[in-house]
Amino acid sequence: MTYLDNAATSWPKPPAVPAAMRKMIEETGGNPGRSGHRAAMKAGETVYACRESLASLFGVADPLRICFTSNATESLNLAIKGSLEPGDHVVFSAMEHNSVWRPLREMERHGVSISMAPAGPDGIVRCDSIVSQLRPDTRLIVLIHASNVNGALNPIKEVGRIARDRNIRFLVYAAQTAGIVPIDVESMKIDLLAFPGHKGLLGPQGTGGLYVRDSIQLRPLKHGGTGSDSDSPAQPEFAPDRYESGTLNTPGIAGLNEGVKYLLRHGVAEIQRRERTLTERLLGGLVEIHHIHVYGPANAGERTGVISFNIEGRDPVLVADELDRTFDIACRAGLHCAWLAHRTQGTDQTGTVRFSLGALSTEEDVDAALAAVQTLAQKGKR
Amino acid sequence: MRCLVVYASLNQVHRLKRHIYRGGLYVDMVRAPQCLGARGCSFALACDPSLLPAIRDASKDLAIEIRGVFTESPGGYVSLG
Repeated sequence: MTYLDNAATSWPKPPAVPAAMRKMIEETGGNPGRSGHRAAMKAGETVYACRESLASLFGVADPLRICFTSNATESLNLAIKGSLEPGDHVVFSAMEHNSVWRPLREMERHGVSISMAPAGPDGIVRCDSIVSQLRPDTRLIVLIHASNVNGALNPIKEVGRIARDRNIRFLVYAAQTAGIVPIDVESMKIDLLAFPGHKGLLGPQGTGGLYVRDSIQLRPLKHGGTGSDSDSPAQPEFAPDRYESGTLNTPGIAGLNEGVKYLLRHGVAEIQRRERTLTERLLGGLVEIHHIHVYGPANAGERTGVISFNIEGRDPVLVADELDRTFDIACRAGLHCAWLAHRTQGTDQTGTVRFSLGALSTEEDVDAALAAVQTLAQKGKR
Repeated sequence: MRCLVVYASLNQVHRLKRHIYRGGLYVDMVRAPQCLGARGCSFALACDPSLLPAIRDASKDLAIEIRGVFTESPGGYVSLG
């Protein structure tokens, strides 16, 4: 199989990922932070090791500010609902995923007002667009780091400076960049970083996390057992316990740790450089094919390896289906849970076919995809 | 005879243990006995008394609250504050 659906979930994973999960289930056992027996303590060591790996990857000084969740959507819900009060104002972008847009619309029902910063025709949300939406009561800026529709990269560092200068909380949605683009929360002035474990971080599905800056205290999304302050009816005041009620996905976190360790060994900058080379090859090949429309920035330096396109006159879902059945190429078509972004690029009525590269993608994958699209485009309209 | 330095959570104990280990010292982690009463389920660093200053310093550096320091004795645990 030629796998070009890494924006949905990365595949394959480094072999150490499933091996660590299997070991946690079959050998280690134990529930971290609850019992005191050796198995539980060993499981706790693995969970903490993953916090350290993630902290190292994102430039976080205190690993206890990394909170585990089940996915980036949960992280965003925690960050958004835990930050806002009635009367607050939020700025978000026209490229956001439903995992940002829907929680914000829900908060609107609770007295929060929201403003959308437009994106350029290439899908990039520029600083002046964000600034134009700010108000004296703006409490939060939410920005997707790179679009899951067309790969457009946003100027996180510049927006971070704008937010910090105005004492506005800055939440970055890094579903398509964590493990793919270097992220340093300090230099980028990121207050809250929501990330999945199963995409660029190469971990298993069911893992994710939220970095919470040390001066920030969110309202928890979940309440319950944390293995700490057990005599109190209230959630603990300290992170990560405050945000991690209930048993963690310990096998998943063991796998995630191996994925992150793989990235730390190889270097995210090197992975980005390699992926950028493949992106140039894929982009360059697609734009050469007649009857193909490619969306997003033309320059590989302004985007990730997430590439949306359409074949003139063809339904993208049927194209993806044919790519799968005839050419054994896995990709995603449709609206990608990001109607706002599709509306911004004018594909909200049609959707697109999306190829998404990953850390383990190859030139052979790219060439197979280009040959298949060439064949489909030559077949004409259907 | 060893000392127990009690904290609220296993996460905090891990953070401290790793921090102290980087300084070349090894301390153990245990579930804190219920009788030490640090607000229910708690965990502790277990160490030789000579390591207490290093643990106190590390706790201060990392801004992690110590919820009790005890030494084991034949009659039970004696609070060291």
